[in-house]
Amino acid sequence: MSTVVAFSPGKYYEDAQKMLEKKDLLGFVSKIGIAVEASMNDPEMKARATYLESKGLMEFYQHTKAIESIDEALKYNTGAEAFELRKLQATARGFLGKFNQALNTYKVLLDEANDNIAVVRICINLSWAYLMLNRENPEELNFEEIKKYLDQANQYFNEIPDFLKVKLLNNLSVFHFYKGDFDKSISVLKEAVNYAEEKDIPRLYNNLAEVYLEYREQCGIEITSISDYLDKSETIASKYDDKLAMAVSFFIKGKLELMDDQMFTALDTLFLAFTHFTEEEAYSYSLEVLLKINEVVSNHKAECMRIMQKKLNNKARSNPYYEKIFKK
Amino acid sequence: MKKFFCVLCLVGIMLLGGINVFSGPFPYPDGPYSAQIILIEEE
Repeated sequence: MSTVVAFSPGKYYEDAQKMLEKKDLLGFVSKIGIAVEASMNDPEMKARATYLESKGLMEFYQHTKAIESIDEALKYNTGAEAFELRKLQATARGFLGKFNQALNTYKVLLDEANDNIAVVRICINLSWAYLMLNRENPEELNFEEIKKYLDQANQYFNEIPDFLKVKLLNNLSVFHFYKGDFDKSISVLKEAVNYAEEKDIPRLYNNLAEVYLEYREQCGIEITSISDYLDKSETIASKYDDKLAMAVSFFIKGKLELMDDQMFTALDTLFLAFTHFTEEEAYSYSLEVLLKINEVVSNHKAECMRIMQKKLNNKARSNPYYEKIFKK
Repeated sequence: MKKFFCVLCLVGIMLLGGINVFSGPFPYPDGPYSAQIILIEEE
């Protein structure tokens, strides 16, 4: 009897759910793996287990594994679950830089969406993929397409839950930023703050700081609130153990210090950002920080070069992800 | 030392090769996810 209980897929499924809540990747993978295997004679349980495995892997940013898991989950799931899985798979491809593939899937899903919330969620993802594509390839900037999907989502604004309002307004703000309308970008981000839960505030404050930073660089106006936003972001991110938001905050702070000619302080802050990003496996960010450090060093020649040389050797080499970053 | 110069060379090549130093606020997708992160995962 006890053997039957021990190998019950339901028990492992529940354990996996708990591990996901605790953000324990190894625990989650281990438990959900057993739940998936043990449910081979139970199609309904298999559908639930593969669905949870896919969602969990996405939450842990295991995108390549998530794409494989979703292929498997789609054999057992239908209807709303299959719709969600296909959306997740497109998002995973986007996170891996395959934005055009993601866009194609989102467009198919938008045609299939049968309620307003689903339409808004897909439109948010379409705007995300277009904005990220444009961020990395500015020559492909496609304002009309982005605006079309943001407008489509916006018509249901009063019907959607607050967490979707935050995402929609955030992406609308980024759209205005790329168009060069900083005032509009800032006002929309501030509106997003009104709908946000505390744990989501650091991302918005980081974006506000980033917009103000660009505003200052282009208009030459001293903006004291940048530091305030970064300090608040760091405090709240620390409270929720959001290391990625902390790292982004350090990165912006480093760029701000550079603008204020605090080169050595800025280098320390940028190295702090680099360390945090690599610990979080945020390799594209790590690279951005290294490029920024290189830019600083190129402008400041000999003495700074020696300091940078020493620090980069010590910090980059001791970083467990160093080899991975430069393997490509 | 060798690694350090490798890093500088790589960064230099990327700058010369036109890889953008991104800037600006980040958009977010639906879901509990942060901004874009590209993982270099094992095959």
